[in-house]
Amino acid sequence: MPPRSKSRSRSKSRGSSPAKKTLTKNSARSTKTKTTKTKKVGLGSGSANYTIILPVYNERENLPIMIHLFSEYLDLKDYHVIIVEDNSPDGTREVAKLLQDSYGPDFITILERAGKLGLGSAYLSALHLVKSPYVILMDADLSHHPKFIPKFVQKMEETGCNIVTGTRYRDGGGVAGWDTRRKVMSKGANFLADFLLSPGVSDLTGSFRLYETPVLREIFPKIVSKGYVFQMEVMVRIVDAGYKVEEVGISFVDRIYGESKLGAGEIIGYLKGLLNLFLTT
Amino acid sequence: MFAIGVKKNMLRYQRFLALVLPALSAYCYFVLLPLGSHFPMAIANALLNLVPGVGGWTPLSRGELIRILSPLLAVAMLGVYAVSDIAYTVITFNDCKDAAAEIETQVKEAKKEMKRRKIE
Repeated sequence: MPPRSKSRSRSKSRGSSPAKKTLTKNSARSTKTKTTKTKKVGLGSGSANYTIILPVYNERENLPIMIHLFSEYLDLKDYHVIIVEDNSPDGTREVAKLLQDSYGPDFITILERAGKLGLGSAYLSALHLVKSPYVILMDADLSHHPKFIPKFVQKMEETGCNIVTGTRYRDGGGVAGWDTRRKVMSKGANFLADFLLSPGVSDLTGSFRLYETPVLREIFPKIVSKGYVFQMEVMVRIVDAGYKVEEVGISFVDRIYGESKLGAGEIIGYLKGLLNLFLTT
Repeated sequence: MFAIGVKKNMLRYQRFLALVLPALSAYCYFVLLPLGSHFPMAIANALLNLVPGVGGWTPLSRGELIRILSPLLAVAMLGVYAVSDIAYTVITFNDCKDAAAEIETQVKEAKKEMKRRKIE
């Protein structure tokens, strides 16, 4: 059994270091999410320090495993999960409700949406429900392993940064299940983005990150891109706003065998999005 | 002094242009202008000089070749840097085979736990 890690109680007042901006103004623009059809079920207690936002679509198999891994590696009293469920046809919503009954509504909140409305809007809808000072965003398909969350927390405590992002290219990070072609494409895309945008992080398209909640509230409403470029735009805007970012190596496990996620259309979309970021930021 | 763009930081493409446009202008002024209106021929000549078999209409010294083809040289150097950086990263890419094995084990454990909790 993997050891449980108890997260240490954090003192709320950390003092602002000169390198960080003061986050006094609430600049999150009120977003018109399609709230007429969303329901939230089981709003948990406000005492958790960390909220994990988990958008799911057709993750009936993986979602229980994710929740189980959370319980293995995290102190559940300090964490809260918001599952954003987009009306999956495979019964993910039912599994989510069973998990909520089993682990308790204090741990799991379900945000039900009418359909697949996009990752950005999923995050924004969930942000309304977040009460904790820190938010973790990650994928629910088991490519990101919850065991790295304590490492993110530790990094943030050590360095006093605003954001911790998981990287596959540094600090012991890596990938399981990629052939050479996939590695070349990934690094090629990363090189191009790094050359054009110079963001100061080694893994721009990574989606496994720990944020301070005010930063999320400020930055996410501004994002216009979709897909891979979404994560890049987030990082670029965060860096441009002056926030400090640190990296922790993660293992990314690609379990989706044989499915080609990178067609020509995706590549063109990526290049267009990259060019847009180059011209507008 | 030069208060251009100091209220806001420059956008990325503007920073790029701020580097490239002066270099390009210097090239046009110091290299192309002295060649006069038949500079395309001069460039073609320089390129042909590079091809081992053919040589150009007029042979050029190495310094002259570099001056005329400097933009191309810069792009080629960037290309070499890109290829070597990508190749190095791909070769030293960390393959997390134990991570894949670990997740498969944990999937099985999790499924047992889910049965125990009567979640299906």
